[in-house]
Amino acid sequence: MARISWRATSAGAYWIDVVVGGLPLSLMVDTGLTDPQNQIGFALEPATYDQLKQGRQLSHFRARVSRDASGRYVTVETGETTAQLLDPTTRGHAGPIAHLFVSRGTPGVPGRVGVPFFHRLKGCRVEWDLDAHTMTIEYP
Amino acid sequence: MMSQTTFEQDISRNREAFASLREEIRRRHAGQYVALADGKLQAVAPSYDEALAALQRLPSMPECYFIFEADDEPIFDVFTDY
Repeated sequence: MARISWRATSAGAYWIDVVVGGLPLSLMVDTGLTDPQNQIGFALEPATYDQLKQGRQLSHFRARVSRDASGRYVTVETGETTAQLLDPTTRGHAGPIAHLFVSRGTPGVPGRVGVPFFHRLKGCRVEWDLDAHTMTIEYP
Repeated sequence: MMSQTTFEQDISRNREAFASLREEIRRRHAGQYVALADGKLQAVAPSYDEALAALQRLPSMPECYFIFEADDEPIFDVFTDY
């Protein structure tokens, strides 16, 4: 198994590198982004989502309803794409390619990667070192 | 802004509407995007954006709506974005 790691920022957030629809992105890990259908893997900034859409990297569009921490419901646009981890050191693609949906997020909120993406990484493991503040993904 | 209860009722209303419209949507609108809102089929269009634009032209743009490919099914499950 190969390994890639990311260190938490001074603010305590974990940002990982993922190629989404061919676009290399740095995305904040958000375990609060979950989907009973296990489909919505990312909530992207509107400009990034629109860039993917204009580049024809999204398909099978759907309007989905999301709910935030305040209990507010909102209908958002989602589209299907591919995603793969990116090694932060070598910038090479790493691990399996996942097919899942991205949602058009809220302006001003950074792009985030949610639980469904991790659940699509077949054969992979996440090791969260709580002392070292690192997140490591092992992939075949 | 729509209240939480109203939104949940709207989702239920659209879910029930789709159950009765499913076959008609597939038979008559294959290959198109359809927009469901207020418990009715509101628009049929060749693209997502055109279906959304049709909703935006309604006298009152619904807050709860479902746009999907006619050959597929809408997803009524709510995802959490905390």
